[in-house]
Amino acid sequence: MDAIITKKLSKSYINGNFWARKKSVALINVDLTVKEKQVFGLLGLNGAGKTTLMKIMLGLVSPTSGKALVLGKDIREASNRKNIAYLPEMPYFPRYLTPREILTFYGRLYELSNKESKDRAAEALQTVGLYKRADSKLREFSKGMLQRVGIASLLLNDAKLFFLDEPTYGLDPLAAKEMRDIILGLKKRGKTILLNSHQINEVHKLCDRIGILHGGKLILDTPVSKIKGNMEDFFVRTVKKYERAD
Amino acid sequence: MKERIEKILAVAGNTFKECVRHRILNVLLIFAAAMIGGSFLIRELAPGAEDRALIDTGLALTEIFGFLTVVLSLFITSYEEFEMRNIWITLTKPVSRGIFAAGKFAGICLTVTVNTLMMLSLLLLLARINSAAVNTSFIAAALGILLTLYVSAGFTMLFMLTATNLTTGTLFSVLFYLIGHLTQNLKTLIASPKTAAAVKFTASVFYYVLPDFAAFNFRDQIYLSGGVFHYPLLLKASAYGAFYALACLLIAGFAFSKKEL
Repeated sequence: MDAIITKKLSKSYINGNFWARKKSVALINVDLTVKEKQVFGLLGLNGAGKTTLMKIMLGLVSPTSGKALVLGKDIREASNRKNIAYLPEMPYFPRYLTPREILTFYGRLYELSNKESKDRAAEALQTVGLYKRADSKLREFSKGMLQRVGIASLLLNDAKLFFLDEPTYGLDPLAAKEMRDIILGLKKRGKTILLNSHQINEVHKLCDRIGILHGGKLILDTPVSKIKGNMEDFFVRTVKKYERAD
Repeated sequence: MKERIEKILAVAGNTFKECVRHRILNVLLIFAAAMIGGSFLIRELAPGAEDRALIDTGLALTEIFGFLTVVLSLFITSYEEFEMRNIWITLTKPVSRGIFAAGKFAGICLTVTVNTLMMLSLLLLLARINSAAVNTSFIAAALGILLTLYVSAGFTMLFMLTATNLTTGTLFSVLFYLIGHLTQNLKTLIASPKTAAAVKFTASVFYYVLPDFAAFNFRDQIYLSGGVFHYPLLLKASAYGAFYALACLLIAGFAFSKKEL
């Protein structure tokens, strides 16, 4: 089964004032398929449309045209989001709450009982090494620690599909390695992952397949095993080749 | 249905915790307590009506600080949700935007109820110290303030969730609050035989769209009816407040569900 399917997905935004409106195109006819149990890496320069694509798949934004199905369903329907988990770039949490409280809250939104939410929150905090700080206020946390709380939030609902936006952003090398190990652990457990990253080598190590978005278009979708040589060079070559041809 | 209620309660509890722990709101409460505490000084300016001056000033301050609590609570929580994009994580969980809005409204109402009851308790204490008479009209006024604040929470929520930015939302909320204390004048205009039909129609539209806080002014109504509190009046006003807040919440939920985050 396909975990994610997008068909002719396009998105444009209207910017500017009422009297001087400007249309900016973020995505143009994106056709993408991510198979179940696959780790798919989404690469692209800044402003390529990666975050917009992810936001459509998460139901945060509606497409202008085309459709997106996640685990075979329309993700804009709340009940269809039970089996997904999302980690944004630089996650931010209410400053006056504690990691235990925020994770318990998320657990309750996943329809877990209060006790189950608390147990899973404690377990997840243990996994990311924050159990001892479970009752500290989040405003006392560093960027890396907040990222860990974000990672802990991924582990609450035993999701089938993970959306990770720059998961190692702001992490020190040790924490980044731990994050990669967590992703590999999820991969081993047969989870599907859509990874959005600028870290090309990270994508190379973790992904089965990659897609390159450029100017809102999906210009390449290929298995990682078919890429010969250095991944970074391959990425630059592909983008430049496309720009010359366009 | 049970899951929906549980999610509303979870969002409400979370909002309440965030609000009561926030430093700005704590400072606001301390400031409100200081101002209400200082209202006994007003007594000196009203010889012969010291008790009424103390209670009236205290109640007015309670309502103003209650409204500030509503606006600041919604501003602070919405800032963290929209500007810091915390809402992206919440809304990718199986919770609809309408349920999220309802939970947030419930959390704000709970926060403002607790804050208002604390301010009213302080006022009662002051009245006791100054041996000022406290009667049914105090309780009626307290209920009126709470209804005013719930309605304010409804329209402030609507503006915060739908405005393009939080400053605009705040500005509209403050304007609605101020206008809500003047809408009774529209009723007079509508009732006047000298008013043209077109003006009457326009005034009626405005009257039904804008909140009418005079409906919650039970204290004056008790005074005008010679100290008797008509309970049907409380029911009528409560129904009006509930309807107005619910309408705001439904519009907010609908508009928020279409909003691009």
